[in-house]
Amino acid sequence: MHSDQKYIQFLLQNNGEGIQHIYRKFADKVVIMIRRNSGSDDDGFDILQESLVDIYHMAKYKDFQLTTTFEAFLLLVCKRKWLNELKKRKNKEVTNTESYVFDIEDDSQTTYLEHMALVEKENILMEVLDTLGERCQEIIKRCMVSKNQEKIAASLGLTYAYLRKKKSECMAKLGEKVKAHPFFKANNR
Amino acid sequence: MKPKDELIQDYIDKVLSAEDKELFDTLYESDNEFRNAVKRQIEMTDLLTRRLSSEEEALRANLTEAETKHRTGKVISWKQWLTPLIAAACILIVVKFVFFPSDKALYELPEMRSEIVRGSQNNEADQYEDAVKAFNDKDYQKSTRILMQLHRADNTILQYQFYLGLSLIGEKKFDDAQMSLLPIAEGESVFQQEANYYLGIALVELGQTEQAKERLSNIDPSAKIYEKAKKLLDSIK
Repeated sequence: MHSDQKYIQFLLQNNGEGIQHIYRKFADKVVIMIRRNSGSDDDGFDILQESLVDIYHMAKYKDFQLTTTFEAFLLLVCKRKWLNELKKRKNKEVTNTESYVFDIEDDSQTTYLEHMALVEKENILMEVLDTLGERCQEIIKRCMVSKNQEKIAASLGLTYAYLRKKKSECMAKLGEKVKAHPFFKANNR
Repeated sequence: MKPKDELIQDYIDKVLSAEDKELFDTLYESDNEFRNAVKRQIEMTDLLTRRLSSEEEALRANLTEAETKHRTGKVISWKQWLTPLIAAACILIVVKFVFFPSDKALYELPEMRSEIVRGSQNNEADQYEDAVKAFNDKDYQKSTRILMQLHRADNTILQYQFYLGLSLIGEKKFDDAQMSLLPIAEGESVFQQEANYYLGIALVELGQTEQAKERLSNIDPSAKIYEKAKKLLDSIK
């Protein structure tokens, strides 16, 4: 286990002190990197937060292992996220003067990229979920967290049969939207 | 007949009746679209369950708090301490000029060595020599431009990257200098000790005194730059 695994644990355990330590040690480096690549300080902090949330989700996969320094990994995740953001903003003039910062000495980058792609897929699914109607979102969110659907039906003022019917409809709607999404289309989903 | 959506959901929730199970199996065998819809919905269910069961919201609350502390900590302290800081700085400057010799030498950049570097070809060597001349003439804008080109062309030659860092210090681009020197300071090359020293200088200039102290303290006592580092460390303590 890499000695920097402690930073991953801070995120997994939602350790307040540990998270502040992460900010003290790495925030400025991320912000400098974003600033040097057409971003503002606010962009830098936004990217940092989103990347730390992504790392938290990646770390929850059983096969995830930190094989480089946390800093190298964090900068890699931030860089990828920022490049995606720039693409969204249609600002493709990205400098690469400091690309050596992202050089990782072993072949762990491939494994990291696989985990990152998985988390990106989840992020997009969550974005698509947010485009459904409020009722559908509520039904799906509650049914995914709790298995007790009779209780959910009662709390929503619905019959169990109607809840099941609505849940099927909502999941089917979500499936159709996912199928039509450019990301999933591109990945043959 | 039950709609396909409900069949799929019942299958995933494991509440299919025997009759519906038969219909489900038939469709799964014969209908490619149905089969894909089942696979997609199973995957979506797994991802949603995973994501929605996580404690992301609580984590975000702590991340936001840490960010606020990190950012406001800097701003507030800067504003709060501005007046006394200016006063203290004035006193220090007076005391320094009256009682102590200048420590300007500690911040001076070394001479850039003229030499043919590993693996160089004529054009590259010429460019390097141009950078040497510009650097030693303190035309840092020019030396930065040349060294950046050289570094981009071959980022395995740490000598380019090291002098690029120094040249950026000469241009007072301390953020950039920090990014250039950091990987060398954390590596194991012959430039490691000096990179730590000049990284320390960049950090001092950026106001990150604690990190500068940490860098300077890490310099090996056997290094040539050690005595200078000790003096710089004393001057910022």
